[in-house]
Amino acid sequence: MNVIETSEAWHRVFDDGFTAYIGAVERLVCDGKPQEMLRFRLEPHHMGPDGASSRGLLMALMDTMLWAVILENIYGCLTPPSGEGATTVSLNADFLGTATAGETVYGVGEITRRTRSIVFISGRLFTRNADGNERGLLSALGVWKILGA
Amino acid sequence: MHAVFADFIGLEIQNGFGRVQIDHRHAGDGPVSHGGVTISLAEATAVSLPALQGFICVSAANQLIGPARREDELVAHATLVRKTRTLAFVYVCVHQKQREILHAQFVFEKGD
Repeated sequence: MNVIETSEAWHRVFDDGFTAYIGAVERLVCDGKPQEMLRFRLEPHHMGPDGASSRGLLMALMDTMLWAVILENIYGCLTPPSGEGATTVSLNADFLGTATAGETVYGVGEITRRTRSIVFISGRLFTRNADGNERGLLSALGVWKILGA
Repeated sequence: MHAVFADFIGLEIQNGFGRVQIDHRHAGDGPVSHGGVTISLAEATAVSLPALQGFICVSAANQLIGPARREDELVAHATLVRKTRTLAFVYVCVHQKQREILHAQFVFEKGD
Protein backbone atom coordinates (compact mmCIF):
# COMPACT_ATOMS: atom_id res chain seq x y z
CA MET A 1 0.00 0.00 0.00
CA ASN A 2 1.31 3.41 -0.90
CA VAL A 3 1.26 5.89 1.93
CA ILE A 4 0.85 9.47 0.77
CA GLU A 5 2.17 11.97 3.26
CA THR A 6 0.70 15.44 3.11
CA SER A 7 1.67 18.63 4.88
CA GLU A 8 -1.03 21.07 5.86
CA ALA A 9 -0.51 24.59 7.13
CA TRP A 10 -2.52 27.76 7.55
CA HIS A 11 -1.06 30.96 6.08
CA ARG A 12 -2.36 34.45 6.73
CA VAL A 13 -3.63 36.21 3.61
CA PHE A 14 -4.80 39.79 2.89
CA ASP A 15 -2.51 41.54 5.37
CA ASP A 16 -3.80 45.02 4.56
CA GLY A 17 -7.07 46.84 3.93
CA PHE A 18 -10.48 46.05 5.37
CA THR A 19 -9.91 42.31 5.65
CA ALA A 20 -6.78 42.80 7.74
CA TYR A 21 -8.54 45.44 9.85
CA ILE A 22 -11.32 43.11 10.93
CA GLY A 23 -8.95 40.23 11.80
CA ALA A 24 -6.59 37.56 10.54
CA VAL A 25 -7.89 35.52 7.63
CA GLU A 26 -5.85 32.37 7.02
CA ARG A 27 -5.82 30.05 4.03
CA LEU A 28 -5.16 26.33 4.07
CA VAL A 29 -2.09 25.26 2.12
CA CYS A 30 -1.69 21.55 1.46
CA ASP A 31 1.57 20.23 0.01
CA GLY A 32 2.45 23.75 -1.04
CA LYS A 33 -0.81 24.20 -2.98
CA PRO A 34 -3.39 26.75 -1.78
CA GLN A 35 -6.75 25.20 -1.02
CA GLU A 36 -10.19 26.78 -1.39
CA MET A 37 -10.62 26.96 2.36
CA LEU A 38 -10.17 29.89 4.75
CA ARG A 39 -10.50 30.23 8.49
CA PHE A 40 -11.08 33.16 10.84
CA ARG A 41 -11.22 33.38 14.63
CA LEU A 42 -14.15 35.31 16.08
CA GLU A 43 -13.34 37.98 18.66
CA PRO A 44 -15.72 39.91 20.93
CA HIS A 45 -15.75 42.88 18.54
CA HIS A 46 -17.20 40.67 15.77
CA MET A 47 -20.54 40.29 17.51
CA GLY A 48 -23.83 41.87 16.46
CA PRO A 49 -26.56 43.51 18.54
CA ASP A 50 -27.99 40.09 19.50
CA GLY A 51 -24.66 39.01 21.02
CA ALA A 52 -24.00 36.45 18.26
CA SER A 53 -21.68 36.70 15.27
CA SER A 54 -22.60 39.78 13.22
CA ARG A 55 -24.37 38.88 9.97
CA GLY A 56 -22.54 41.80 8.37
CA LEU A 57 -19.22 40.34 9.45
CA LEU A 58 -20.16 36.90 8.09
CA MET A 59 -21.12 38.41 4.74
CA ALA A 60 -17.87 40.42 4.66
CA LEU A 61 -15.94 37.22 5.35
CA MET A 62 -17.85 35.42 2.62
CA ASP A 63 -17.15 38.28 0.21
CA THR A 64 -13.44 38.03 1.00
CA MET A 65 -13.37 34.26 0.66
CA LEU A 66 -15.16 34.21 -2.69
CA TRP A 67 -12.85 36.97 -3.90
CA ALA A 68 -9.83 34.84 -2.92
CA VAL A 69 -11.18 31.77 -4.72
CA ILE A 70 -11.85 33.81 -7.88
CA LEU A 71 -8.44 35.52 -7.90
CA GLU A 72 -6.69 32.19 -7.40
CA ASN A 73 -8.73 30.66 -10.24
CA ILE A 74 -8.04 33.48 -12.69
CA TYR A 75 -4.53 34.63 -11.80
CA GLY A 76 -3.10 31.78 -9.76
CA CYS A 77 -2.43 34.20 -6.90
CA LEU A 78 -4.20 36.79 -4.73
CA THR A 79 -2.53 39.83 -6.30
CA PRO A 80 -3.96 40.57 -9.75
CA PRO A 81 -2.13 42.84 -12.20
CA SER A 82 -2.86 46.56 -11.92
CA GLY A 83 -6.26 47.42 -13.38
CA GLU A 84 -7.45 43.84 -13.20
CA GLY A 85 -9.16 41.77 -10.54
CA ALA A 86 -12.78 41.05 -9.70
CA THR A 87 -15.60 42.88 -7.97
CA THR A 88 -18.83 41.73 -6.34
CA VAL A 89 -22.02 42.28 -8.35
CA SER A 90 -24.42 40.35 -6.16
CA LEU A 91 -24.20 38.35 -2.97
CA ASN A 92 -27.16 36.36 -1.68
CA ALA A 93 -26.71 34.94 1.78
CA ASP A 94 -28.79 32.67 4.00
CA PHE A 95 -27.96 32.64 7.69
CA LEU A 96 -28.10 29.07 8.94
CA GLY A 97 -26.79 29.63 12.44
CA THR A 98 -24.68 31.77 14.69
CA ALA A 99 -21.33 31.51 16.44
CA THR A 100 -19.81 33.29 19.41
CA ALA A 101 -16.48 34.87 20.31
CA GLY A 102 -13.68 32.33 20.56
CA GLU A 103 -15.05 30.06 17.87
CA THR A 104 -13.26 29.56 14.55
CA VAL A 105 -15.17 30.10 11.32
CA TYR A 106 -14.17 28.04 8.29
CA GLY A 107 -15.14 28.89 4.73
CA VAL A 108 -15.12 27.03 1.44
CA GLY A 109 -15.98 28.33 -2.01
CA GLU A 110 -16.53 26.79 -5.42
CA ILE A 111 -16.87 28.37 -8.84
CA THR A 112 -20.04 27.22 -10.59
CA ARG A 113 -19.31 28.81 -13.97
CA ARG A 114 -16.89 31.35 -15.38
CA THR A 115 -17.44 33.30 -18.58
CA ARG A 116 -15.18 35.91 -20.16
CA SER A 117 -16.42 38.64 -17.84
CA ILE A 118 -18.57 37.01 -15.12
CA VAL A 119 -18.02 34.42 -12.41
CA PHE A 120 -20.86 32.48 -10.72
CA ILE A 121 -19.75 31.15 -7.38
CA SER A 122 -21.11 29.56 -4.22
CA GLY A 123 -19.70 29.30 -0.74
CA ARG A 124 -20.46 28.37 2.82
CA LEU A 125 -19.20 29.29 6.25
CA PHE A 126 -19.29 26.87 9.13
CA THR A 127 -17.81 26.22 12.53
CA ARG A 128 -16.98 22.95 14.17
CA ASN A 129 -18.52 21.51 17.32
CA ALA A 130 -16.41 19.90 20.01
CA ASP A 131 -17.04 16.52 18.35
CA GLY A 132 -15.61 17.83 15.06
CA ASN A 133 -18.95 17.96 13.25
CA GLU A 134 -19.63 20.96 11.06
CA ARG A 135 -22.30 23.48 12.05
CA GLY A 136 -23.44 25.71 9.20
CA LEU A 137 -23.40 29.49 9.63
CA LEU A 138 -23.99 30.91 6.18
CA SER A 139 -24.52 29.69 2.64
CA ALA A 140 -24.16 32.08 -0.26
CA LEU A 141 -24.39 32.52 -4.01
CA GLY A 142 -22.42 35.27 -5.69
CA VAL A 143 -21.95 36.87 -9.07
CA TRP A 144 -18.67 38.66 -9.75
CA LYS A 145 -17.48 40.89 -12.58
CA ILE A 146 -13.97 40.24 -13.87
CA LEU A 147 -12.31 43.64 -14.20
CA GLY A 148 -10.44 44.40 -17.38
CA ALA A 149 -12.21 41.60 -19.26
CA MET B 1 -27.19 45.21 23.30
CA HIS B 2 -24.42 47.20 21.68
CA ALA B 3 -23.70 46.46 18.01
CA VAL B 4 -19.96 46.09 18.49
CA PHE B 5 -18.98 45.05 14.97
CA ALA B 6 -20.78 48.01 13.43
CA ASP B 7 -18.99 50.34 15.85
CA PHE B 8 -15.67 48.62 15.24
CA ILE B 9 -15.75 49.36 11.51
CA GLY B 10 -16.97 52.92 11.98
CA LEU B 11 -20.66 52.63 11.13
CA GLU B 12 -23.13 55.10 12.63
CA ILE B 13 -26.51 53.43 12.92
CA GLN B 14 -29.82 54.61 14.34
CA ASN B 15 -33.46 53.67 13.75
CA GLY B 16 -33.25 52.59 10.14
CA PHE B 17 -30.64 55.12 9.10
CA GLY B 18 -26.94 54.39 8.65
CA ARG B 19 -23.82 56.27 7.68
CA VAL B 20 -20.13 55.55 7.17
CA GLN B 21 -17.25 57.76 6.14
CA ILE B 22 -14.98 55.60 4.01
CA ASP B 23 -11.38 55.74 5.21
CA HIS B 24 -8.18 53.69 5.18
CA ARG B 25 -9.74 50.96 7.35
CA HIS B 26 -12.21 50.11 4.60
CA ALA B 27 -9.76 49.66 1.72
CA GLY B 28 -10.44 46.94 -0.79
CA ASP B 29 -8.81 46.16 -4.11
CA GLY B 30 -7.21 49.28 -5.59
CA PRO B 31 -9.02 52.61 -5.05
CA VAL B 32 -12.40 51.14 -4.13
CA SER B 33 -13.55 50.12 -0.67
CA HIS B 34 -14.19 46.50 0.29
CA GLY B 35 -17.69 45.34 -0.62
CA GLY B 36 -18.06 43.95 2.88
CA VAL B 37 -18.22 47.50 4.27
CA THR B 38 -21.26 48.44 2.20
CA ILE B 39 -22.94 45.11 2.86
CA SER B 40 -22.33 45.45 6.60
CA LEU B 41 -23.74 48.98 6.54
CA ALA B 42 -26.94 47.75 4.88
CA GLU B 43 -27.36 44.85 7.32
CA ALA B 44 -26.74 46.95 10.41
CA THR B 45 -29.18 49.60 9.15
CA ALA B 46 -31.89 47.00 8.56
CA VAL B 47 -31.39 45.48 12.00
CA SER B 48 -31.72 48.90 13.64
CA LEU B 49 -35.37 49.37 12.61
CA PRO B 50 -37.31 49.64 15.89
CA ALA B 51 -40.08 47.38 14.52
CA LEU B 52 -37.60 44.49 14.26
CA GLN B 53 -36.93 44.10 17.97
CA GLY B 54 -37.02 40.37 18.69
CA PHE B 55 -36.50 39.46 15.02
CA ILE B 56 -33.33 37.91 13.60
CA CYS B 57 -32.01 38.16 10.05
CA VAL B 58 -32.24 34.87 8.12
CA SER B 59 -31.57 35.95 4.53
CA ALA B 60 -29.98 38.80 2.59
CA ALA B 61 -29.79 39.64 -1.11
CA ASN B 62 -27.27 42.33 -2.00
CA GLN B 63 -26.79 43.97 -5.37
CA LEU B 64 -23.65 46.09 -5.53
CA ILE B 65 -24.47 48.69 -8.13
CA GLY B 66 -21.48 51.00 -7.88
CA PRO B 67 -18.16 51.31 -6.09
CA ALA B 68 -17.40 53.36 -3.00
CA ARG B 69 -14.09 55.18 -2.76
CA ARG B 70 -11.90 56.69 -0.04
CA GLU B 71 -13.53 59.72 1.61
CA ASP B 72 -16.97 58.91 0.20
CA GLU B 73 -19.79 59.32 2.70
CA LEU B 74 -22.24 56.44 2.35
CA VAL B 75 -25.78 56.84 3.66
CA ALA B 76 -28.24 53.98 4.11
CA HIS B 77 -32.04 54.04 4.50
CA ALA B 78 -34.01 50.99 5.59
CA THR B 79 -37.69 50.52 4.74
CA LEU B 80 -39.94 47.98 6.42
CA VAL B 81 -41.75 46.48 3.43
CA ARG B 82 -44.01 44.07 5.30
CA LYS B 83 -44.22 42.57 8.74
CA THR B 84 -46.27 39.58 9.80
CA ARG B 85 -46.45 37.78 13.13
CA THR B 86 -43.38 35.69 12.30
CA LEU B 87 -41.64 37.36 9.34
CA ALA B 88 -40.46 40.80 8.29
CA PHE B 89 -39.22 42.01 4.91
CA VAL B 90 -36.85 44.97 4.72
CA TYR B 91 -35.42 46.94 1.81
CA VAL B 92 -32.22 48.98 2.17
CA CYS B 93 -30.70 51.45 -0.27
CA VAL B 94 -27.15 52.71 0.20
CA HIS B 95 -26.10 55.77 -1.72
CA GLN B 96 -23.34 58.34 -1.98
CA LYS B 97 -25.06 61.67 -2.63
CA GLN B 98 -27.26 60.93 -5.67
CA ARG B 99 -25.26 57.87 -6.72
CA GLU B 100 -26.73 54.50 -5.73
CA ILE B 101 -24.18 52.07 -4.33
CA LEU B 102 -26.16 49.08 -3.10
CA HIS B 103 -29.68 47.68 -2.98
CA ALA B 104 -30.45 44.96 -0.48
CA GLN B 105 -33.46 42.94 0.61
CA PHE B 106 -33.54 41.20 3.98
CA VAL B 107 -35.82 38.60 5.51
CA PHE B 108 -36.20 38.50 9.29
CA GLU B 109 -37.79 35.84 11.43
CA LYS B 110 -39.33 36.29 14.85
CA GLY B 111 -36.89 34.87 17.41
CA ASP B 112 -37.75 32.50 20.22
